[in-house]
Amino acid sequence: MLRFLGKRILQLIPTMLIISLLIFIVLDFMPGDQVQAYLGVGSEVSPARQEQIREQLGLNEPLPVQYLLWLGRVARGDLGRTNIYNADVSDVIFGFIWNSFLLNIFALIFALLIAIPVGIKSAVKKYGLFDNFFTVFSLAGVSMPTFFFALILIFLFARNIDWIPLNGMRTPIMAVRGYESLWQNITDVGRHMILPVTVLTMTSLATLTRYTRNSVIEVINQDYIRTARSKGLKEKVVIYKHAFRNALLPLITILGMWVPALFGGAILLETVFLWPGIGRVLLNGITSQDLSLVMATLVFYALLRVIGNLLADVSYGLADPRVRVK
Amino acid sequence: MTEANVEEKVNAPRLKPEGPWKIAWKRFKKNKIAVVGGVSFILIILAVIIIPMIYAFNLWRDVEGVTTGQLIRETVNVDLRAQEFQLANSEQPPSRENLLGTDRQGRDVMFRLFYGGRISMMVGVLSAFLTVTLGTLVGGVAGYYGGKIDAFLMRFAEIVQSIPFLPMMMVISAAMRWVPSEQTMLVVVFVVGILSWPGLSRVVRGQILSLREQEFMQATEILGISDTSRIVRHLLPNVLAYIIVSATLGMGGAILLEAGLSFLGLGVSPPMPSWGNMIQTARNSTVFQSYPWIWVPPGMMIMFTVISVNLLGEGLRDAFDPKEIR
Repeated sequence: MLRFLGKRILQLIPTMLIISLLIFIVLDFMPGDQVQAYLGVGSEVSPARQEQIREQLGLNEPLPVQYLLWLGRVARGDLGRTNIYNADVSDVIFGFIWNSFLLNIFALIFALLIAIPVGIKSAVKKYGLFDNFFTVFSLAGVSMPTFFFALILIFLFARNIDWIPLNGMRTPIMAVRGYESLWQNITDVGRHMILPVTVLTMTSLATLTRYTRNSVIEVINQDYIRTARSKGLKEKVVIYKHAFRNALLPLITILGMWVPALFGGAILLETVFLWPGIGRVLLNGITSQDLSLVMATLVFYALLRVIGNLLADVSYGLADPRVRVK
Repeated sequence: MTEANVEEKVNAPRLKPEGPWKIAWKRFKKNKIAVVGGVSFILIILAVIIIPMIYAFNLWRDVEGVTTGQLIRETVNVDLRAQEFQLANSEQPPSRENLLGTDRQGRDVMFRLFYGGRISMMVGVLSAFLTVTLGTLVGGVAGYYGGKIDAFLMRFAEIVQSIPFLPMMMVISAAMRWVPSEQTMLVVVFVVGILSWPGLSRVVRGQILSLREQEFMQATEILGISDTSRIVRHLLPNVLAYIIVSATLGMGGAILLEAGLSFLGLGVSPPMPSWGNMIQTARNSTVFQSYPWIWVPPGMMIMFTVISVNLLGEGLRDAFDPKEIR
């Protein structure tokens, strides 16, 4: 197992290098002047000084050299500066991911709590009323653009319920004055989370119920389930102890895929709900052509994805002894 | 067995064995939900083709001195000028003249909805086509030639798969903002295509690898049939089912991606309408709250279209799948 893990981690390095190189090349086509970004908008600096900075940042070098310089800086932990947030890129990224994480972890927990029992129940009574209802529900869920669903919710809530805030993460006045107590802080953020978490839960529910259902159905048709039944075990024991444990296997793989979503956030939803997460950082970076911010965010996203795949592989190995032997 | 029985069997008309396509078609027809999906998909395509034409026809009919030839020409290639003729009062609620009201610029929403539908559907079809072409090509070559080529291509596919999907799309479209509005649609097609082929390429590769070992392929080798003919005539038809299903489902995905990108302002850019950029107008809070007829219909159309495409795709998958016997 350790050797397997070590090998996989070593494989990560070339993958990340190639991906970051690809990102670097794409970004080279993006408009935007890094010297301006470095100095800040509106700063008046003589062309000679600008040229000097350009030289310092290595922007006059050919692309491969620039990439190597960038790698060198990253190795030293320097991701560059961003002028839109007027801070170090690394501080911005690590400041904002937790906001994204907050939304996604709650959505994931709720979605799992609902999806697993629903999926099992649908599988046990395949094509029953309950199953059909959730089939339609999931179909609508995967076919509707999430941001549109969010807009509709906001539209309905804006008119009817006024204690649920429609966007943002904190009530502006409270945030500026400072919270009186920790409890007030928690309830304020909590109220702001209601709508985005609802949307995220519903959308992930659509795929998760389907996934649980199909994997339980697959297991129920196996011989050992028939054996369990013919031993005279109670149906409950058969389903929850024998079938569900094995059905969990494929679920674990998609949970690995959740890593990028957990930290990476939902860019579209963060835009709709004006949620200060990492997705907003990326979008802001792109629209204000802040290249070092965009570069770092993209590499961060790629890293999450690669780690997610790794976790999926490893957890699969842990859960299924047959995989480990190979 | 009696004499007569045998006689009957011998004299019975020889049934031609049913081809796989015929079997699939029969099974597809039996699946009511899939047929509904297919029919409504065709209806949507017809609507986005015909309704803008009706608008153009009505406009040009009233223009003085228009010849029949010109009228037909203008009706068939509805160009965007037709839309400018629509200028009426802006932000009008739905009425008899403008069934879905007018937008901020006083353009008829109904016309834009179906004209934009053309764009969104085109994005779906073309992206699916590009994805499938790339995926089949890479997967086919990897599976057929095997060895080092296979290892290299599959490693490459894995890397492309690790690229964060939506963020990378956002960056590539941002880097291609110099493209004129009418062609931004092709940018979306390009970004969706070059990032989504790896999934299919793996499936095609796996299929071809296993087919290659079967007797009929050994027979083609012994018969000395050329490489091209072996691939095109003997291998491809066997994976065609997968390709068709993946193209159908991919089309739904591409329509959703277009909507998302355009909503972020990185997809099809105005004045060219698309379902995504029509919803984008909801980011303006006045439009969002007071003029829902501008942004709700395109969202509904997306949902309706993607549901039909998904039903069709799943129906096709069941129809082609020999394991699924009902």
